[in-house]
Amino acid sequence: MRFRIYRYDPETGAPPWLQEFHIDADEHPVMLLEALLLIKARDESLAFRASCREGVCGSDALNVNGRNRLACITPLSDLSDPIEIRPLPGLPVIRDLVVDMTPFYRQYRTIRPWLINDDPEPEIERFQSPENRATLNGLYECILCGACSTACPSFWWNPERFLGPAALLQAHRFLADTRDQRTGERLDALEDPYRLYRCHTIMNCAEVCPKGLNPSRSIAVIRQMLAKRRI
Amino acid sequence: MSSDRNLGSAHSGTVEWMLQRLTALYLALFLLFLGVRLAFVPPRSYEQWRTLWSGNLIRVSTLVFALGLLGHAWIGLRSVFRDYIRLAAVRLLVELTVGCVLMAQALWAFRILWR
Repeated sequence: MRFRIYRYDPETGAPPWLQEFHIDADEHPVMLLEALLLIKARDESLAFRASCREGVCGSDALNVNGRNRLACITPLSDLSDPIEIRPLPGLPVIRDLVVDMTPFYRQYRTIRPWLINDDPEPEIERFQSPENRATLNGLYECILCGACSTACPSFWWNPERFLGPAALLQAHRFLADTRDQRTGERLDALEDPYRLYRCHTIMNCAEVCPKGLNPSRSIAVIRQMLAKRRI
Repeated sequence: MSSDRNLGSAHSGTVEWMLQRLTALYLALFLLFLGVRLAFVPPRSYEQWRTLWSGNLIRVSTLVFALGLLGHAWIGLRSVFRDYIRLAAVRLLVELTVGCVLMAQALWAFRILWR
């Protein structure tokens, strides 16, 4: 298997380049992350993020053969040779495959991703009926890997003003939560030509999400809530 | 990259989004009606073509079509400008120019229909 990996070291001042690596089939890597770890064993200067190696932590989102994926849950058998690995598009590169996620997290923070409820705190927990809990399915599973937002052309053009699919999916998650008491305020904060309406339903987000979530649908639901409020 | 100015939400965009869908619906229905009308009773001469637009109902609905089309174009073009034109001064200038052209076209449509 041939790998072409994006290399960039800001300390050298050299422009980014693609380095070739070879992995023999008898080394038996199954997932892409295993192959990356084998490569790192040969060239320890290669930098990338990884942690849980089972698609839960969201650290190892990479652009592989032109598509954002999690390295740890991408079988090598799904990829065509040579495998070209680049950092997530649209974010500043710190080194090699490591990007600066600050613009992504900044947008995530603006939607206030926590439950706001002014009622006295209960002894144990705030209960929800199974039906109400079910409305969070397809929303709470997001691991904030950033694959969707960095695949979104609208986020590439306006990363400082458009919230991006990941933050909007999370906004929907808290709008849908029956225990939350700030639905109106949350909608107020979202109703903006840039924050919400830069989405043009390109749907790269839903296409690449490694957890199979659909941020486009969340954006449509938020727009419907805003429209209902107007009429 | 311009910075996040922390000015909060503009509290707008929803009306534009709704109008875009509403005008799209009207444009589609009107074009369907016009297509069917012209396919089944095609005007054979200039005179027949003129009499087709002599009633006030067809004139008003055609004017609404023209205004809907221009409004639809305005919302769509503004959206494209917001995506790509980063300098506010340049964007406002482009929007002003396009807005003037679209308004002139609206007046033109009115003149054609009530000549």
